Amino acid sequence: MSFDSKGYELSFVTRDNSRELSCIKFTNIYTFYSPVTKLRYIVRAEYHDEDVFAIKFYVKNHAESAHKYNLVTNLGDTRNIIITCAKVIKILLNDFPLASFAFMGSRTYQNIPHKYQEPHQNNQRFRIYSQFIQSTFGIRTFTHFQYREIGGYLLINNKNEAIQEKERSIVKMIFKNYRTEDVF
Amino acid sequence: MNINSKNINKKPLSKGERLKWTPVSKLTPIKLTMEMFDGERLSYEEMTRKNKKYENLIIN
Repeated sequence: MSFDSKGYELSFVTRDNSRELSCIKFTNIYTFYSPVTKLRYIVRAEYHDEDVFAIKFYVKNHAESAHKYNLVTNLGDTRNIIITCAKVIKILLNDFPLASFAFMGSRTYQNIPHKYQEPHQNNQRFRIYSQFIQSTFGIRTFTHFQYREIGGYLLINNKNEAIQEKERSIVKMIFKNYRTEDVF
Repeated sequence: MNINSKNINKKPLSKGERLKWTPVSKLTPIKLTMEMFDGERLSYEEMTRKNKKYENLIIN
């Protein structure tokens, strides 16, 4: 899959200061519309301790679902949707030039039957996100880390003096606050 | 709606069809362990090779 599309226009909605977890300082919420799927999407950039944003997105119609990050629409337009979500990083770096970014490939869940369709390890979303990030984010700004076991990906900002130590600090923070997979 | 009633007249799955399913143990919620966070740092050489394939980097 190539990622040379332009994506869509991203609009800032609001900053949510309510803290779902103590490690989340605030959440910037953005939105965009896909004329292909005819769906509106919500992008959340959750700012955590250790100066790291977790980027998440879901279909607005799925907002009330406990599995909103796990559902698939099968309506396509994957390239443009992912590229649009990634544009948030460029926006956030303007105000947070030292920030790092984390992504999680959630495993697929289907409402019928009510169950997950794949394990965490190397799941479909992780494989797509991994390929996308490696082809659209270079090595000048970030050092790339991937975690196949949990379907996670980390972009550590190279302005940090000790990259490896920063990576471990972020990982420990995530592990301390996200003990089960329910929150992913 | 009684979902089970739909399956009354269905033929049971063959062994081959059953084996295609992902084992249930892999589908249940997991408890995270620190070992799962042993990440793979992508090397400069590997990233340079991958970035060359695409001209439109969002951020270099």
